[in-house]
Amino acid sequence: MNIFLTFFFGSCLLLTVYACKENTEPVTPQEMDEEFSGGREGTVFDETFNAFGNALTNLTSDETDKFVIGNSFNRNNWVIAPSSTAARDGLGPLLNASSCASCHALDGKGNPFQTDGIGISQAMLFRLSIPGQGVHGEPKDDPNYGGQFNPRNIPNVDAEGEVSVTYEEIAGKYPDGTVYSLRKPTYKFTNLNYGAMNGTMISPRIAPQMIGMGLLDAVSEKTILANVDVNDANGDGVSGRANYVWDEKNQKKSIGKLGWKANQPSVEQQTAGAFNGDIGITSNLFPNEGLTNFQKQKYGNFPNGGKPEIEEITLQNVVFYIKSLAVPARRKWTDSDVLMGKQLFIKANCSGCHLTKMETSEYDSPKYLAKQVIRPYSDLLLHDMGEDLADNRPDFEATGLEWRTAPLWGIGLQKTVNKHSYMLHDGRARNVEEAILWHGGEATNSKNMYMKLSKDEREKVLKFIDSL
Amino acid sequence: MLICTIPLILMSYKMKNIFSITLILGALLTACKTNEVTPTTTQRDVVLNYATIVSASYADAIAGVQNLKTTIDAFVKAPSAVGLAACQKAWIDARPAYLQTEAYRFYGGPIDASPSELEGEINSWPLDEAYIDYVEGDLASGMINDLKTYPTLTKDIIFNANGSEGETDVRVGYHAIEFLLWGQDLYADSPGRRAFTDYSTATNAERRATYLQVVTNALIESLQKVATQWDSKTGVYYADFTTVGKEATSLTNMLLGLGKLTKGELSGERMTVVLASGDQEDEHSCFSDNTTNDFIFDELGIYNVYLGRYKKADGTTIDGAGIDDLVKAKNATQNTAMIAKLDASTTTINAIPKPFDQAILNSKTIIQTAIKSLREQSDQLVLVAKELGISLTVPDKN
Repeated sequence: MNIFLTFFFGSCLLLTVYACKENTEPVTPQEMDEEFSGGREGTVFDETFNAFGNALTNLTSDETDKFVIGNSFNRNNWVIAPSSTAARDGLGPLLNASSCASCHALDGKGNPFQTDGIGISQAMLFRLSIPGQGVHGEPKDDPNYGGQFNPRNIPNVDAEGEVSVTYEEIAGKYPDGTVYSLRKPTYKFTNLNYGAMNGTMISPRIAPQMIGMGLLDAVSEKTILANVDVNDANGDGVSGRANYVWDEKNQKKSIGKLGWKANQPSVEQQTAGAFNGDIGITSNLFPNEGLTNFQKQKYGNFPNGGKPEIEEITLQNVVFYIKSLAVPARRKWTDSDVLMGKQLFIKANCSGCHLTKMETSEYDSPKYLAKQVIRPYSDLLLHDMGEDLADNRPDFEATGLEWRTAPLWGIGLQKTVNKHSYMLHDGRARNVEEAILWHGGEATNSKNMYMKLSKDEREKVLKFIDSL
Repeated sequence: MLICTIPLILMSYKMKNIFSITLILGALLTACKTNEVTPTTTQRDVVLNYATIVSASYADAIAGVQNLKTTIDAFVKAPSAVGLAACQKAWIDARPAYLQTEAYRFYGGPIDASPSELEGEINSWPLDEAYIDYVEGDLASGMINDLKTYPTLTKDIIFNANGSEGETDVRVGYHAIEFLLWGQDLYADSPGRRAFTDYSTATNAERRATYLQVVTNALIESLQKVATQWDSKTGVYYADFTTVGKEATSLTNMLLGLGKLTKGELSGERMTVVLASGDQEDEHSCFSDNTTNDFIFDELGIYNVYLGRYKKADGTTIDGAGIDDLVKAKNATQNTAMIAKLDASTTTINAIPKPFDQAILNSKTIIQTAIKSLREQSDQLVLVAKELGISLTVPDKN
């Protein structure tokens, strides 16, 4: 090729590149590293059904071993003691599920319903309490059923009962005339085996995806508190409060970061708590089975799977595993519709609570979680979400109206991984749009702004959320 | 050569610069030369041969369990120590064919696809012994001994109970049969020691026999459900897998299955985890102490798929187009490296002393060597996939 031709083609190429840039210049330019939802260390590029199950990118060989071991005890079922597989026995006596993964399927969000779409599955549990607080400010257990409802049991034990749900469809309309329908749940407890529930407060919770839990654990109290605006000093209608909860390991009050009501201070406590409450597995942190006094009398002498049932090192491996689950990268983050949707999301101040960015602090277990710029789209704070969404059950400092801002990262892959699109704490929303429409309380202004958008604009917002 | 010549003529017609022609001619000649090494192997050949092997190996797996059924039926009719030993032998003999099919797992194929999730009915682990039969410390446990809740034991009743206390509680499949033949392995130096009298004079002996027969029959049915989908004439999955134009997807799935069985399952779940837990019975075939065979035949299954080769139970061999042929054509060095890794894993796995529950305690270094080989095998799979234009990610765990 001669020099002239080279120059000619080169110029064409330049022109083409320039032209392209002109044509697709977005309204809100993409931000640098925006696709790395879990930071440089904690983001994986995986859009498959395994998207929630990947490790942080730079684990060493020894750390990979811990990850693999933790996964095994997270994924596989626990069995009744005594069993040949002694490392995995101690299930029950009462339980919600026999493994972590049976609710957090593929490390993702459990489908709260059975295959018929009506029956409640094991992936939805019900916290129970009666008015008042315990010594550390915790909710007071129901005297007959304890702190959570266990509809399953090992042989020779009576399950606590059954629970079912019915829905009332509530019609609504956007300002542009488009109609929608939301479904409001009513729960019914039947075949109760341990007496009546008198004035018991009930809070349904579905098993959320486990991605990025370590990164959230690594967000400091200071970072979280920076967004607190209890008295709404900036007048945007959004306050935001931190929950302070009992930290069993450190025997003191700590800021709550995790859980639907920010009622857990750390991945370790949340994990040990779930082993105990959901599967009936004791640990060093929670050495006693979650039984009421009456249940203890009946089942206290049953064979157990050791004291504790999950060995400390195994628990630490599971905790390491959960902390090391990376966050899938954004998809289509440069798409012009997505960028427009993002701009609308910010304009409606959805980002007032679903913060677009935060940074993790110093951290050493594992170290990769430290100093990461992450995009969980949450402030980890409690917000009044209105009467319609309230569980009316206080949890430490969270009132019956408050919920923690749910992180949105990975939300667009829920359908791919878990084959359903149920949202919110009890799965009442059948998709993202319905979840937005359920927002009330402090989120009322943002929801109203969303509702006033044109159909096309609303779709762009949904496209943006789907790209998270 | 004909294929190469045509574009060359078209090109030269358009090209005016002799120098360019020379360059392109050179490039094309090089390309043609490598193609000529295996002129006939296409992705389609490899996919079709894989499907043939899958069918043949599930047929062998079914035949193995049918033989087990015949042996069990005879034993149950006239229980004896010899009869029980024959059943145990038939179980061990049935395993290799099934284990080789595990190379077809982990990509959402018929064995794993929801909602039926047949793998859970076939090879689920660990087992809830106490849901099935008596255990140490509770002689009344299990469906077999629970006449009140389960006055009769039928397939439907057992399958309805399977998973009723959580998606993963296990009462059926190979390992349930294994438990019923060997009993709990509470011994450091031997497999389980169930007595044949459990099927003659012991409490609920008849119900135990019924349970054993029901789950054995059910295992055949579950395997048949998988095999049906791979049937070359009527199989729905076969049709999809071999659709013209989908070869690259199918090839990706084949490689993903190999990678996930190698890494997350064999080196991860079945070796690293067990080694770390130090629990003797945290092994997959714990009642029979047959776990090393699990490794050996899983690895053979992986090797089969790579080479497009399968030795059938009747002694004949299918030897057709394999992934190796495709890789060889692209990069012979990578193919040689892959075969070296497969050989190394085979050797290091075979070096693990039997039984595995003793090796966990006494031969840790040998097991660690096998783990290392398998991880390298997985890494090499990623490299050969790359040669085929496939970006393969093998997760650390499944």
